[in-house]
Order: sequence, then structure tokens, then C-alpha cells
Amino acid sequence: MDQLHPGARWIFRADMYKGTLGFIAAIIIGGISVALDEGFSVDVLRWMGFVIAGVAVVALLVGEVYSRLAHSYFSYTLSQDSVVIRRGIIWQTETMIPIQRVQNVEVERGLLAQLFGFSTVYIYTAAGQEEASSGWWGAKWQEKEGRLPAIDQQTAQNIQTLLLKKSKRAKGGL
Amino acid sequence: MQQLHPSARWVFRTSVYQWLIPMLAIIAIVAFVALVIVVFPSEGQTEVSQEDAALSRTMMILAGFAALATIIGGLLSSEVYARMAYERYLYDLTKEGLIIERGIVWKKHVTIPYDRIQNVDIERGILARLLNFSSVSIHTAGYSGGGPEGYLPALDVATADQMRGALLRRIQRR
Repeated sequence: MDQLHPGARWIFRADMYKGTLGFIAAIIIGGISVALDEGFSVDVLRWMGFVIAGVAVVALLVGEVYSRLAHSYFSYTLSQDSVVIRRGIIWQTETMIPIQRVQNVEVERGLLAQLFGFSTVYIYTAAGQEEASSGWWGAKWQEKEGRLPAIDQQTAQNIQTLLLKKSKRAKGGL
Repeated sequence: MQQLHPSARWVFRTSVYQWLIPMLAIIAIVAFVALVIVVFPSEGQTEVSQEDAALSRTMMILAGFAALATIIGGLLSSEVYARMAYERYLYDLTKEGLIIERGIVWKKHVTIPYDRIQNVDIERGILARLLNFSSVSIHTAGYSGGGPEGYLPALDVATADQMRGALLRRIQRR
């Protein structure tokens, strides 16, 4: 059972903030159009500011709680014959990828990853990455099947080489 | 052939309940319109007219009956459906692959050869943790959309783990 790099929290936070940005944009557009309608009312703009600040504070708090929980509920195990990824706070999923089925391993370093010194690892199989299932009340937060959001750089490299070597050996061949 | 965990019935029941929510929402809208009619008099009038009050009352009564019928009908049909679906959902691990036989009217028999299995997910949502079962999704190669090819809504937690192990062993044998 291995935990993610602490920087993974930033990825989870960013997931949360992304959803809020659209919301804030809608408030700004709505607020400005109402303000113009009222003859450029400063009062309306002030209220808009308060609402945005409120939304931002809520987003920050929720993002903080969510990212910590998501981080502590995410773990992975690399064993002789499979990779097991455990994730999810309420809807918990345990994905098992037989090493023999690994098609490709990708290591990605985005902006956050470079800032906080981690790598994102994608483990691909031949199965589609669809995962569009939704619960009762709308879509639930979905992670890609074989994604490890944040792993220490060196470890990520090691995982990549190890998995590719093992999957080749497991498949037999030349 | 093996049967699912008895709690699978709850999975089937909730899949019927999902349909009730939009219906109840429509009924609630009708009731709300009736309420608006009786509270706000039509334009130019100070009081709600006799006709409007009568119309509102009829709408309320109809909405009440519809809601009652929806709930009772929904509960009954979900119960019947859940029991029948549970009786008719069978799976087994055979030499050729994992076979699943399901369906009440439209029967579906699937065989998933072991060498087509890509990754195996074990999911545990709220219902699953309350009633102590796991859902297993078996993803195959070359499958697009509409959820996983092999889906077992509810297995005993230990059985699900064993099943995953058995699948992994069979994948490796080839």
C-alpha cells in the first residue's frame, strides 16, 4: 500500500477550483449586466464582490477538506502480477490492472507537477477509458482508471520502467 | 451457475427508484402551479375567482393521487422487478471465460474470454457499504461506451476479492 506524493492534494484542489471558475464567471456576467441595467449601480457591483468572495471562501474550504480526504483515501499497490489502485471517498473503487495487460505507461509533468516536484503516471490497458457512470444524483467525481495523480519523480520513472519490463516479460515474446 | 449476493436486490430496486424522481418532480410542479393559482388573483382582480379556486383544488387532488399512485406503483414494481432480476442474474467462471446470464424478458448471455479481460474494478458505494457487498466491473478490450461489459452488481466482499484473484490467475495462465 503506497500513498501518493503530498502534492497530489494540489491536483485534487485544482479539480475543485476548476468547477468554481465557471460559477464565478457566471456571477460576474450576471452582476455586470444587472449593474448596467440599473444605470451602473455601484451597490450591485459591491454585492457581486461579496458574493464572489463568499463563493471563493466556500470553494477554498471545500477544496481543502476534499483534497485532504481524496489524498488519504487514495492508495496503490504494485505487486508481482498486478497494479491495484484504490480511490474514492464515498464511492470507493479498487481497480486491478494485470501487468500482462499493460499497454503503455505515460509519465506526465504539468505545471502543478513541476511546481511541487511530482509526476503523474497513466497506466493504459486496451480497455477504453470511458468511465461515464453516474450515481443517483448526477455525475460523481470520476478518476481515470489507471491514473496515479502524483508520484515522486524518481518513483514514477521506476514504476514506468518496471511495468514496461514486466509486461513485456509477462507477454513472453522475443 | 452462481447467484449474486442477496443485497443485489437493493441495487435493482434503486434502479427503479431513479425513474420515480423525475415523475415526482413533474407532479410537484403541477401542485406548485395550483398553489400559485390560488394564492395570486388574476390580473385586475382583487380576489381569486370561484372558478380558479375550483381548478386549483382539482389540480391539487389529481396531483395528490398521482403522487400516491407513483409511489405505490413504484414500490410494487421495484419489488417485483428486483426479485425477478435477482433470480435471473447468474454468473460462473468456466473454462472458456466468465459467463453472465441475465435478463427477465430480453435475456442476455455473455461469455467473456479470459484473454479479453483488461482490468477489473471493485466498487463500493454507500449502498454497498451499508449492506456489505461489492460491485465488480470487468472491462474488456475493444468495447465502447455504455458501461463495462461484465458487470456483477453485488457480490459478497470476500467473494469479490476471490473472484478478482481467480481472474488474475486465469489471465496469467495464457
